[in-house]
Amino acid sequence: MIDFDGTPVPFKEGDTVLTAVLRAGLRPWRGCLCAEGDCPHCLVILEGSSYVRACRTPASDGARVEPHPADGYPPLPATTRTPTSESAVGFEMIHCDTVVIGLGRSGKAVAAEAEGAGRRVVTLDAQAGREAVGVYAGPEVVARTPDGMARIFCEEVVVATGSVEVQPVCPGNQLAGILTRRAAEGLAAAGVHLGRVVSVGAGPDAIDHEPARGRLVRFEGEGTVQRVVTVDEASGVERTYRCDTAVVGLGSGPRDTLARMAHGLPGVRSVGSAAGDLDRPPVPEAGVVCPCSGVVVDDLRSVWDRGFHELELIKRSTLAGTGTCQGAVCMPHVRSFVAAGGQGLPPSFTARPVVTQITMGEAAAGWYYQADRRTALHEEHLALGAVMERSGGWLRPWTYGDADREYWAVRSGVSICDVSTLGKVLVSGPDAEGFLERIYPAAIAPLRPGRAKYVLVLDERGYVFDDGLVCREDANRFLLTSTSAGAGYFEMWLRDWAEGWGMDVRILDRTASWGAINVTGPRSGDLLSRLGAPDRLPSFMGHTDMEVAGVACRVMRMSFTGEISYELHHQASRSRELWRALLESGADLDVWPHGIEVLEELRLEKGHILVGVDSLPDSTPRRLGHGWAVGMDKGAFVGRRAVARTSGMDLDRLLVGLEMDGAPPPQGAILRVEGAYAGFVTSSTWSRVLGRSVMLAWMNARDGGFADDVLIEGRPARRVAVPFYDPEGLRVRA
Amino acid sequence: MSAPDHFERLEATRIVAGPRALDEVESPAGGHLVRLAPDDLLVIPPLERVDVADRYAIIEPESGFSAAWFAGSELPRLQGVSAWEFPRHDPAFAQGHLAGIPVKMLFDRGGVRVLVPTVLARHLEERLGMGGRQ
Repeated sequence: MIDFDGTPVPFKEGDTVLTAVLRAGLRPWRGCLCAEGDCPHCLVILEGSSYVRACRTPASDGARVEPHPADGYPPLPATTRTPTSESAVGFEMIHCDTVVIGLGRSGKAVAAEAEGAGRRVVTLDAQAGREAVGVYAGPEVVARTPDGMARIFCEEVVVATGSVEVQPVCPGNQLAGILTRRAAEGLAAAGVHLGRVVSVGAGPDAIDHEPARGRLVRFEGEGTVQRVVTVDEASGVERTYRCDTAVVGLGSGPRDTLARMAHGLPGVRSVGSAAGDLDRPPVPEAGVVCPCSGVVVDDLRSVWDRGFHELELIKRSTLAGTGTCQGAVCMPHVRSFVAAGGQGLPPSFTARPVVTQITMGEAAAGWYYQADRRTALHEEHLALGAVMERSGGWLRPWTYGDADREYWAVRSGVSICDVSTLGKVLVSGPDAEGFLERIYPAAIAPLRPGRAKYVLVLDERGYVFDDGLVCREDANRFLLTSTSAGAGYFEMWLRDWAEGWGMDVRILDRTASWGAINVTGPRSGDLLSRLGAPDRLPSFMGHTDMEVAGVACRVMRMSFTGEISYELHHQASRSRELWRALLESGADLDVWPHGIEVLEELRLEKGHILVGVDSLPDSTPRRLGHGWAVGMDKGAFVGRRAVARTSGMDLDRLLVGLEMDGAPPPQGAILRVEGAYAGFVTSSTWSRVLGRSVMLAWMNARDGGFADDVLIEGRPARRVAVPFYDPEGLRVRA
Repeated sequence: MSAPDHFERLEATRIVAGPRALDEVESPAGGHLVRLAPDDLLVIPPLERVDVADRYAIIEPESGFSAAWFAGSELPRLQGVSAWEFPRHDPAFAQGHLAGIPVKMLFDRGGVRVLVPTVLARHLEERLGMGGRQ
């Protein structure tokens, strides 16, 4: 038994839900049923999933089925199910030479011929539960199979989907009890009692029926068809036929939804009836044309009278053909309607995926969640109780559970931080220096081997899209760093320009291959001296190669935290032993790692910007207060013209430092001056060391200047110079 | 065993140099020269000594990949999560995505050695239903 809207319905082996329900004497569906999956009339809600065609659904014991509501949309599922890997819809990618869609006579012939020619053939047939739902460029076919969803890649797609019967358009065509000819034959053969049958057009085979003579005018009845009314064209006399079932044989057209979806795609062709001509129906005069979107003939006339005479325009203005059946029902009639306007029979409009409705689970099959990268220290962080957070395409420790301890380890002792995520690119070659001079707005030539320089990266419009360091190794080799989130784009940017300029350089991205640990705090030198050679530690903005705890490292001295810092770049395969050695050797120094929550606070106290957080897509170096990082006295570089042009303009907006008492306002909080909008906060934090809130914010110019005092969320804030902490930089150079 | 349960970090040598210089690099005994790009070569296992006729060549130890060997019986399963078709003959080298993760694949002796960036290896293990390391 199936449970159909609360009624137990028996079924036989091989029945569809449609067959079983109609055999039980129920008539829940309105409109002309095709029983072949073309029309939208037998939609049901199956186990909570709506838009399921009863004629395509095998009856199964215990299945809970409800018809779609007669009007409006089906309800959303009453319960939400938590997806699990077990409940995921199966998915497979298949490669072959030929996909044949439809296994009628034409499809079988094509498949046999292709197999005979040694081609690998995949066949799809909705009747057999292997249903193509979309055809895409490639060509590629997406299909629903008994095992789930499949993407099938091939050289050739053959659409052999046969024909679709023309449905009647006249008053009363949405009554129950109307069947197409093939539907009637199939249902009768399956034992469905049709009662008194009246046929319109070509009558059904093997079914007793009374042919209705004359042109179809309308169907009549109360919910269910009871009378068929025709008219004798010669005399104009109407004739009425009483019936229990009306069967219409109005001809057919190509079942071409998939072919229309693939319109113009190379490698896709139609054969057999799917490539045949339409039995053009008479021009519709009244009634529902498009049952999916509820479009009636008067709607077509209305848009026609307003000048919409193209098929595509009529589709868009009425929505005919945009619904569940993608025009399978309405297309012949709308084409006929347009043709009657004197422009000939227009070609069919394009269909959109999917040809039959699929569930969200089916749509999601084969798609994966974002693969955030993990550093070599991922397990070490977890072992220390870290809470991990997505950041710039990586999973990074947000905190190790005690932000206070993490913060003061940096400010007054020694701390370590996994900065492996930083972009790291090697550039070598005879043109390396000249190449970087063109890439960066800062002068590169004066940089000596062993020294590093902070640099902005500009696009052609002079806007900042990344920043980092340039470390010179020798005359012709450099290590460049970039932001974590921007590393992939940065490498691409470098390669693109190198090729475009024809420069002789070699480029190698080391981001995923090298680990990097930042050792920071006033006692960082003490810790490293226990693990390396103290007399070789580089000075501020210097770098050198040395072993730390037996691990070959490039030690770079710079600072993002505001304290003495050494970044240890090394082979990622050695990250764990280096991390553990630092923790073990620094145990008596109370060394403790810090996460990016505290790192945000530390860098903000120093006024360091985070590109993408504090910058906007149109941030020039000048607007960011970083004009000092641009050398206009050097040669050409990307963005130079734009920087030169904008440098003569009034500064309309500036990234400023603000401080206030009390808790920090949230990112995005609005700045107001005398009640008017004046900008917004980009980063904010409560500074433990300063005892007040500090923030960076975009401030609009006002009367040619920038306000010193603003209100943020009703509280006063003052504009101050950055850095907020250690403005002379004495600590980082100590 | 045909199905590995996890990827192991791979030690190799990475050389970025002029294409003609890379053409002349000799393969280590029992090893592989994997040409990732005309100017980019991965040498497995790592070379003790490298002779490259390009004074600007970047020669670096490479530990950014992890690898696992899949026997031929596993190939259909891998093909089922690949939008590109595997080479029909080996030895062959191909690069693309498996289950949405970028990989490099060395087809040989009927099976395949899959190289994945170590930073993404755990995702691929999960997506391929590998047992995973303990």
